[in-house]
Amino acid sequence: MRILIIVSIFFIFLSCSETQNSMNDEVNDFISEFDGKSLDEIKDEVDKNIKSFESFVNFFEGVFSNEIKKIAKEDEKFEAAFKIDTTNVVRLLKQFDNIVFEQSFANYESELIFGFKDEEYQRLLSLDSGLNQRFIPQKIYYSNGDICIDSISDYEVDFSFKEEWGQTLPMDSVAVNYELHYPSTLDSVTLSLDNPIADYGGGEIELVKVKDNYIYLTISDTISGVSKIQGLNKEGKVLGKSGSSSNGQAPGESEKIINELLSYLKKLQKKLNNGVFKTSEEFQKYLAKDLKNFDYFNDNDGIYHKEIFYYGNVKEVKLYFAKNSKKKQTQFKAVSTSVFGDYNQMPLEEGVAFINKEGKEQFKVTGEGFYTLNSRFYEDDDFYYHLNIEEKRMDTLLVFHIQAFNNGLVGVQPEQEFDDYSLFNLENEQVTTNKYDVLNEKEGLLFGDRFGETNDELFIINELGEETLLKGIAKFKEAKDGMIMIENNSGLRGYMNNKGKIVIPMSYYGVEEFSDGLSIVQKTSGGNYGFIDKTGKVVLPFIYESAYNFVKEITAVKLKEGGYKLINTRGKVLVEVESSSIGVSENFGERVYSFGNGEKYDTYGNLIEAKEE
Amino acid sequence: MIRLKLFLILILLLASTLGYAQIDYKALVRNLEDVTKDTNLKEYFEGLSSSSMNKSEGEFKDERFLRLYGVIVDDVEFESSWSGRYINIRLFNEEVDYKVLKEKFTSHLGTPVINDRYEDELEYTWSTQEKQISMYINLKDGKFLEFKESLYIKFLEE
Amino acid sequence: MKIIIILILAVSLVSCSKEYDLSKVVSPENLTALLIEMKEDKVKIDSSYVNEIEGQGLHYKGISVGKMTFSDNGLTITTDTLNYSAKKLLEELEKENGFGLFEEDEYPSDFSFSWANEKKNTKLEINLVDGKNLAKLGAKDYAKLEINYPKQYDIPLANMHQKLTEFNSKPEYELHITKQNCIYYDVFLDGVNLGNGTYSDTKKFNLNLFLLNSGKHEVKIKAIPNGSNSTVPSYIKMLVINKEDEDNIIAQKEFTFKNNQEQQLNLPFNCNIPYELEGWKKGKDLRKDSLIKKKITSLYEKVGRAVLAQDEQAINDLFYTADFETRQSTYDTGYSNSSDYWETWLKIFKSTFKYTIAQDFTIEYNSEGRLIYASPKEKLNMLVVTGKGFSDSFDFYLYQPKNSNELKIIR
Repeated sequence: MRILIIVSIFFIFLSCSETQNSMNDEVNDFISEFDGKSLDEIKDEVDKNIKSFESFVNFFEGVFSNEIKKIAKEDEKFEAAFKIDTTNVVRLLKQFDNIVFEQSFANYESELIFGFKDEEYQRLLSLDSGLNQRFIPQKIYYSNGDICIDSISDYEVDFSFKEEWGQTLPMDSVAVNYELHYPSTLDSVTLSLDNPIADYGGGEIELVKVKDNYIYLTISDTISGVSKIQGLNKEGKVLGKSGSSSNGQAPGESEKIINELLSYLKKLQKKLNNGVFKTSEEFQKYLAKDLKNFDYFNDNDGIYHKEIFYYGNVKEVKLYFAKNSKKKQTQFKAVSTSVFGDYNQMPLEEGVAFINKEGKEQFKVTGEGFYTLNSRFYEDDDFYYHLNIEEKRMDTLLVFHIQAFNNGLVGVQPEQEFDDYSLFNLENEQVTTNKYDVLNEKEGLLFGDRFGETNDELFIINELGEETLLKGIAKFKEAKDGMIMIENNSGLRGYMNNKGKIVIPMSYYGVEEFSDGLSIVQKTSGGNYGFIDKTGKVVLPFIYESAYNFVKEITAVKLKEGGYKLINTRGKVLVEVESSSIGVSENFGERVYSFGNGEKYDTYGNLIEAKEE
Repeated sequence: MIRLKLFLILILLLASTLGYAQIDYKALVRNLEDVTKDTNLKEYFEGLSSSSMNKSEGEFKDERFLRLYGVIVDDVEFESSWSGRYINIRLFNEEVDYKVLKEKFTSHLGTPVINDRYEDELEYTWSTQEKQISMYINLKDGKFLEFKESLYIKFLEE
Repeated sequence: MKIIIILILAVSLVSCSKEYDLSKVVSPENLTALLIEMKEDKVKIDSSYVNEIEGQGLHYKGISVGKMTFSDNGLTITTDTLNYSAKKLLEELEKENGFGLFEEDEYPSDFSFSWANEKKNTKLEINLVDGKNLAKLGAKDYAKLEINYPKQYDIPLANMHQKLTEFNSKPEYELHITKQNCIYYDVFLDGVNLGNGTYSDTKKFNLNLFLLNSGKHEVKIKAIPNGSNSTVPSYIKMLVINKEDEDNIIAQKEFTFKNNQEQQLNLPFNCNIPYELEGWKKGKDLRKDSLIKKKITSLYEKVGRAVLAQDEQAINDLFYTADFETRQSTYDTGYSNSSDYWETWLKIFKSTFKYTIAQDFTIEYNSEGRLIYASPKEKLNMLVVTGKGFSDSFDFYLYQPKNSNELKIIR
């Protein structure tokens, strides 16, 4: 992928403030690509590079899909003028109630990736412009009781990628400080053609070019943190931004650089063709010397170049700076969701090491890294494996499918899709001769189905593989929060808890999941609905013709007579609606109740849209 | 010598622009006004670009080969049920096509029944012993805008 | 004026670069040869994104084209910006290949025509620029022509369509059994067990697979009333039809039970099929063969080993006759299925890391012992090949050919 190297080098010296050292690294990488190649091969490489570069030049010409042009009045798009909004500050500080992390090991380091406990509903909130946040780890609570507070503040808290977090020791939790800097007062600098230069914060800002929908300005890099740059049209309205770029080089400079580099490559090509170099090493030495002296690898003009395109014709540019900023902080504890056993995988450059709970390496196996099923069973794209501790290796298992369960057992289908499952323990020993058609783990209980000629049997299986027949229960439905919905052969449903005890007998139809501690049930098929609690007690009687489940302790119900009502979990009517048709929409835990008469209510029963006339 | 070459080149250029022996597309055109309730559609469309055509049902979409009284037809769909054969003909929204078809149907099938119940819409129905044709158009400012739906021809069982 | 024309012509003569007729590229070998030729002629190939050649004398049978991109198994041609040649390309392709499969409104194209061939697939997509519709194509309409060459395999199993016969008449014989308040079993066609009845009141059995030639055949079943409900009459009805002409019943038989005794029903019928197959006609009677279990296991072992070793020739030899007869009797004569079936084998080769053979099985003897079928007692299939998350299973009808001591797969 020669072109990638060329392109990456190109972008590197175009971007702003790169240190001399890392520049040398890139140059060295490029030169070392020629290691071990013959002069002929090098010649081909250079030829190809030149061709790619030439076509890249053409590509670069059109890198902006934007062009400088006059925008017609009707095509103008606007955005709101920048101002400080502190409501988001509060939300940002409050988002850390349920932070978890996954810990894994690689190359003798721990790696952490952070997330939210209920991944479905939560994401890290994005920052408005002008706001800055910092995560500063305070304490690491290791599983062995150690607490570490030194040299950890540089570890990164990242919600998308794994980051290095020091020694390979299992952690229980991590205390993190969250700092949010937001501007409390703003300074603004306005530039236009009549007033193109301004001094601010010890540096200079210059509006170099303004034309139609385009501006180009430079900001000296001694000025820190522009909060926002907005363009205004001649009526003073704030225009929307359609594209922008930031460079370490001035626009147009880039073209000059490409052409210089291209002519250098062509010079190289000529030298190669004329046989100037006797060996590949000579060629590499020549390259090293030349490239290090290339002026353009150093970005030392000390200016930050910014080009912006707008949806409208720009008259003025307003830059906002945080004059004063405030800092608010909070602390949260992130809890580990990882479970570590006696042997934990740690991929290395070559091979995979296994370390124990104290972080000590036990042995190494060959391989590139495995997906963990449990502490002793692993898989990759081609095979399943069992970690053989005695022989200190991964044993390849030639089986069709393995499913791992939290109680330590694995279910194995030896040959094909329709095979029964056999149960094995962590030592890969078969624990029982019993076989099952389906295995399912719910709320910490392992259920096994055995289909028979006349009827199907459902069992609970413990860690030793011993089965207990669940009499009368034909299947289970949903499971949540320690309650498992069960159904008998007649379709009647009840609930079992996560110890395997039936807490609500199978005597109801239409049973739904518990929410806010209540579940909607019917006594007869097609009959009225009522609500029961987790002990089976009927909390709201069977008088409702139609009912929705509770969200934020409110729901909509309808009796046989009359319209819909919004009630609370005690059955108290909060709102009476004159409508017998309803639509309920739900998004991230918030509801909107829409009724046939046009009225709309929110999750809390507040009216948000009035009746239609 | 060079004159001859140039002359030959000129001739060649001329010849290439004139085109060469092609398929006679004109001869393959199907005039849909010829389809009756008994036409075997599989044979009728035989040899043309493939369509899902059985002997009594199917669709054909290649307008190069479809005409109705000379008007270019976009799409034709044939259905058959116990009550007879139906044809749905989708046309291009050309006012001149509308005028031609209106004139042809009237001259072949008699005066249509016109339904102008709805504003900006006109429905024409021609009926004879053998078939019934419905044409529905949308108007704008009293003039033809587009065909509201496909032309619908129904063959009546005696 | 004359001088100008002469000058123009002279210039075009001099600068007249080499022309490449892309209609001559009908195979990957042609494409490679063309590319070598172009490289020698120093034609500029832009490989920065996709392999692209612009202008430079490209045409399709005289119709000038703008661009050509190519890959290992095909090329794409797009019309040029001066002479959008959609109409010309379409007419040329129809002249070459006849009328293709027509599709309309498949974003992003307005129309597409495709021709599928054993060695070459062609697809023309047209976008209207100044044309109004297909009957009124303009001079600037844009076309994209994609040609690819389906992978060809040498192995005979992948080229079986060349040996299969395409018949005009394709009779498919079926046995329909309708029952009420009774059960039936031991459905036989000419001594081959087709299975038993199920709970459903009607069932269809396909007969072609075991019909080796035209002439007289016979279907037999055994039935017995349910005995549960004495008010509802128990009856059974069988009929043989040809799917091509469902309304014409070839043979039928009905029986209403008067008592609870098992009844055997025989239904002879005549059929007229265009093919004639050897099948197991000359096979050895294996009922007295004491080594039969070993032979069966050994045959399945052979298949398992061939799959594990990815031995294409061995699989070809094991399955050729059976596949041929199956495909011929079901009129599956197209070329695309040949390569599809072979590619399925290639996938099985790639995915399999082990095979297992059932050791405990019962043997069903059909046609006076000449055609046998092994059914495992405890397991689901005789041979299962397994990979990670992959499995496939095999159960065959076997026979022993006249001059052989080994079993062979026949269905």
